[in-house]
Amino acid sequence: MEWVTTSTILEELRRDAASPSWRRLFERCRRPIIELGTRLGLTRVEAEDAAQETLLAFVESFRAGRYERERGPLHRWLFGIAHKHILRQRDRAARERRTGRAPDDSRFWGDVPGPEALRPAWEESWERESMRACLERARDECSSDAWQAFELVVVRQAPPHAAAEWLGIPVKAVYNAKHRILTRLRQLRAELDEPC
Amino acid sequence: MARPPTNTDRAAAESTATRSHEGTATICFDEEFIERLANGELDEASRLEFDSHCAGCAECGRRFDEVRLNLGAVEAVRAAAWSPLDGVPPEPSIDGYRILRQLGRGGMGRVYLAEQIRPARLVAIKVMEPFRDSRLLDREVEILARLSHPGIASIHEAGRTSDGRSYFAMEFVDGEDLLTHARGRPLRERLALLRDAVAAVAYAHRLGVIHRDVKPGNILVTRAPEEGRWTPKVLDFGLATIRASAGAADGSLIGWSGHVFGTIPYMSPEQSRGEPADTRSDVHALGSIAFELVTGRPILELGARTMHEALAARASLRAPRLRSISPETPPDLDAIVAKALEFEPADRYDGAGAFAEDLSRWLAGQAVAARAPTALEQARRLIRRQPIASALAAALLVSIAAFAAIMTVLAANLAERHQAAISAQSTSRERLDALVSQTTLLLDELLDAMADDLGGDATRSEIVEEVARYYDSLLEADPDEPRLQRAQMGVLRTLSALSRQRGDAERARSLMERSHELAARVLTARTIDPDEKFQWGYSLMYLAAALRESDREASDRLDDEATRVFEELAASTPDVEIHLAQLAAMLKRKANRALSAGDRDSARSHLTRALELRQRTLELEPESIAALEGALVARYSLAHFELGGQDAERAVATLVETLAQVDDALAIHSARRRLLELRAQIHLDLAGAMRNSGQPQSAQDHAFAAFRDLDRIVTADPQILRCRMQRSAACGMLADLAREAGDLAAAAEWEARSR
Repeated sequence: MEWVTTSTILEELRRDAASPSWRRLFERCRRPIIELGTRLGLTRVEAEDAAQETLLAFVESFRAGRYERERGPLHRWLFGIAHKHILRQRDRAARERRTGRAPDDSRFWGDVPGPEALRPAWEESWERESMRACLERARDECSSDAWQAFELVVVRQAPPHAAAEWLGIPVKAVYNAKHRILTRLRQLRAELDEPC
Repeated sequence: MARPPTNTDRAAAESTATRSHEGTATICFDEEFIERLANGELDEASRLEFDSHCAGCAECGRRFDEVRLNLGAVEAVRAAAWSPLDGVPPEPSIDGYRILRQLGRGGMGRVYLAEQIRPARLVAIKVMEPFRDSRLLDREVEILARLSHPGIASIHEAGRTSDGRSYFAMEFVDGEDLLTHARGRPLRERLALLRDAVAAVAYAHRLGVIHRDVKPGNILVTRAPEEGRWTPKVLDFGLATIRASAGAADGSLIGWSGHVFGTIPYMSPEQSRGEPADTRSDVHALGSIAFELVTGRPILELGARTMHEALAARASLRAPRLRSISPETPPDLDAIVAKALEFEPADRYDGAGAFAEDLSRWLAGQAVAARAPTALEQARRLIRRQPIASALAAALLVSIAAFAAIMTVLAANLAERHQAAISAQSTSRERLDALVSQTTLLLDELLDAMADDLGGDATRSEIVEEVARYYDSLLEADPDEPRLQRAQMGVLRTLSALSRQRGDAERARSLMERSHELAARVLTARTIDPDEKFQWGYSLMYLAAALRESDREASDRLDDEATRVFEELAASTPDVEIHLAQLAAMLKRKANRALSAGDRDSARSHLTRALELRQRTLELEPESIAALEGALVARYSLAHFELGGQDAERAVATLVETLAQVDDALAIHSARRRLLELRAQIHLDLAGAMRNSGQPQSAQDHAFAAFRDLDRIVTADPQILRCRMQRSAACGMLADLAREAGDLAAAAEWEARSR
């Protein structure tokens, strides 16, 4: 998979208004937006709609030159747009529930937290998604054995000697793979959200 | 959390120091060493060595910083790998299928219910998580493709989703897990279902496949459409492995057993130690399910344990017998499940096939192949299990076997009353003398060595019973043989003590009366021989203990008499540690009696003297764990006594110091019950003291620590009455503390446990 940092995507969008880069951006941003939407009581389908609208609004706004990197990182800007569109989606959803066109859910009518209360979860979700993109990139870069060693000891928390036995490689190689990939992940993570 | 470094740490650390910078003469450290150093797992000397190396090697210093940063990133990586968002990324799109809903999620993928378009049918589809290595799923596909059995969910096809993830479609089993389905059904019906599941696993074993994650959630019960009867289906071969070649030796299995998430109660001891699993590990898991089907509870209650604690508990836990929990369990079924759950793989059924056959025999009312292991078999197992005791156990086995041979000769000789035979008898008698001495010594040493085997009391009892039976047989042939009488006297005394410990006061008394009767025949009360005197005092002391519940007055009288004997011995042989230790034990008992009578001054004086004697004993035998235990217990006893007096603060300080010493001793003898029990008692005392001084959090920590130790003892051997009662007390205190803290739910939970 081609490795594309956020600044590359934004650079392409800046150069070419019809660039397919917005799709890449959409893939990277949609999960945190959906998570935010469901946190605010939307169904999965409603949250997907809100994510689409958010990204369309973002691209439009970006092309109109309204994004200024001095005002903060991209994901913080995106949070504001997402929050606004999710609240709009909530209003529509509320109407549909009142008129019986959508199934009612008591969770939907609960208190709506303010943006500041939602921000930590958004940051966490964004970080998770970014790291996921880095993981996919790192996986593509390394050998299958190294990746499996890394996955066994880091993700599945297997003891290094057991991972070595499973893969038929020396324990030393397991440690090497673990640290080589972790180092690479940190580099990728730093690149991913480099200043635009 | 960092743990104290050990010599092993240092050895491991040294062994990992390698020459990793090619072309330089500097010996650099590898990632394993650096990671352990960064984790605080290595000792100060290793750190100094590393620091000194870094003074001349910038590269290692840079790598250390890098490793630390890497370790800091691990949590973020895990969080990304195990995203909490269900259903994201969107449900997979697979040509020919319509995804209906997610059924579950496992370590490497999600399982969906889907509708296959052609042929039209419901299927289960397992899809890899986005970034996982597809080889893990490919392995499962390869394994399932080998298997075609009505008791195993079959695979239909495998491929890639539209976004490139691996998947396979398999038979959808519309059922409930085995335990849920079995609830409320008759025992035979439950076991028949299990037998069918075991047969399915046996089929996999025959094809060289080891499941490695057998648990109730991986056995779904559904109604077979063609027959209309309930059929269990074994699922999820995601952790399964294949033998390197059909019929390969157990040691040549490939693969790793490292699935530790959520299935610890069904894991075999060897798997929980991270050792390779084989067919017998599956047998153990199936035995664990059988255990739960019969008793209604898992072998291991995870309770409040952390994963590491649970794994450690699982690694050392010997499954209790079914009949110790459900006494109505048929003995043959008890024997079958016990065989499946043997601690050592070599003692279990070889594979699920033999287990299924025995279950079938039991269901058909036939004799089963499994039977309770005899004490001799248990002693043989000790050779494998207990490196310290193995030589002793082996020697004891030889002795017992020799007894059998001698007994035959004696019986034959007595029957024939022939001169030649009498001559042979004489020869045998000489050998007998030697063997009695040897066996007595071996038995004592074996029992002592086994004191480090938590939960081994039942085994100890059976071995001693076995020896007692041999002595009885010999005494039948020659009832006045003094060596045999003396040996049997000691064996019965040991058995009595073990019975008392397990709460069987009546048997303890009857055994001790027999022992003392023999003592009265072979020993002389007024003897001046120290060994004879010691034996006599010992017999008096044990008889006093055995009579305590039923005849307090006689017990006190015997105690006084025994104390007098040991006082004389200590005076005449002040450097014989065992004489001093016995006198200390008697003084502690005297202190208890004085305390009951309200005479605190005498009690303090006895306890102080007992402590002095124990300390002297430790000076005489500085390497003896028994002497150390004795000194620690004496110190604790005095501090415990002082807790109720005016200088409680000093007593608490003494308890804290003693606790640290007990911790040190347990670092070496981690499964020594007496030490664990002592530590629990200290924690309980400290919990009470903290509670009284208005420190509820500290009280709770101590009470919980006491509970943990006692639970470990009781889980290993539920028959130890005193520890069960103490565990109840710990739960009661935790309930009180939770109630005082306003946590009524926790209070109710601890209350329930205390019952």
